[in-house]
Amino acid sequence: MHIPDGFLDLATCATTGACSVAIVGLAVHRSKLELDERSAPLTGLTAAFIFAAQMLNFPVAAGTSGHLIGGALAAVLIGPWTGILCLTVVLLVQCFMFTDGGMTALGANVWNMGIVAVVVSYLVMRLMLRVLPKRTSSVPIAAAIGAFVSVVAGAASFCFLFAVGGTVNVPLGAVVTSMLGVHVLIGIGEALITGLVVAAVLALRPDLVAAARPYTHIEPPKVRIDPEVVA
Amino acid sequence: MNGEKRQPVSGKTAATIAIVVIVVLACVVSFWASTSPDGLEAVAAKLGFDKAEADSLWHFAPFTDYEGAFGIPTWLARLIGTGTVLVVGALIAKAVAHFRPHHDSTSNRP
Repeated sequence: MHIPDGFLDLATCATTGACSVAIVGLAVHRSKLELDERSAPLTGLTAAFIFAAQMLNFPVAAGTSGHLIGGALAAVLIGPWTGILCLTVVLLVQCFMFTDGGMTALGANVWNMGIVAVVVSYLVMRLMLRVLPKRTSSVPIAAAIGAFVSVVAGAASFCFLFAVGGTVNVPLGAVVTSMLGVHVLIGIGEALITGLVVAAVLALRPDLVAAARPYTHIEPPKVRIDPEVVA
Repeated sequence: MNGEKRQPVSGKTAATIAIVVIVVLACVVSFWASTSPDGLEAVAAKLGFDKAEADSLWHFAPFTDYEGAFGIPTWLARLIGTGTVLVVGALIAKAVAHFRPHHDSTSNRP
């Protein structure tokens, strides 16, 4: 779903860029509450997994493929604010090292895949965790449902941006129908991958799944204590 | 750690498993990825707005389209990208965590 240069006009690129910078800045501030120095490697590993998995396009229909976005996976493993930082790093490296996604559209790509996908998946997941039975096995199911909705939400966000600032005059209804139609299929793949990965991490290290902590009764990472205070 | 549940695998084992999985995905499995256009590309081609795609304005990317360059094979280019994401992600998280408020330190003051 990486938007290349040329699809969106400069005003839309600038606006999405400014909004993304603001939200990522807020994410830096708020992720302090989700992170400690022990969880830094997990953030790097999550970002690296998402980067690697995004190279694995899977067929979804005749002549069309899709790939993991990873917003839900990041949100469930490390929390929504750190998840936004994680996806932003992935998109920056993809853009500047591999020309995947346009430079002028970087703000729009961060908005669709790094912010909308993460936030929507997190909200849906939290909602599902309220509805589903209160046990650990509900977490992969909630994450999978969040993942499915996040892909559709990212596609809908692209449709909105294209309606506002698309450089080609295309009937909006056709864009919406086509984008949502194909991304419903991609969302199924996203849901399966996310659910399986979350279930695997829960089996190996349940303490590493941020969304599962209320059910595993495992303490969140300890806050560092100043040596002078302990002394 | 005292009072915490014993985990099925140690942190070192979990990290090793994760790194092996990530390297295999990036350097091996990615060669079997579908080469069909992704959802947005397919829709753009179907509705005719793919012609609006401009050449990338960024001309300094070392590995265009995840392919090797400068004598570096494709698998290594993908590994370099994956490693870059891992290191940058971890460093940013570590830097952010460094500025985390120390709640416990204030509550422990005499």
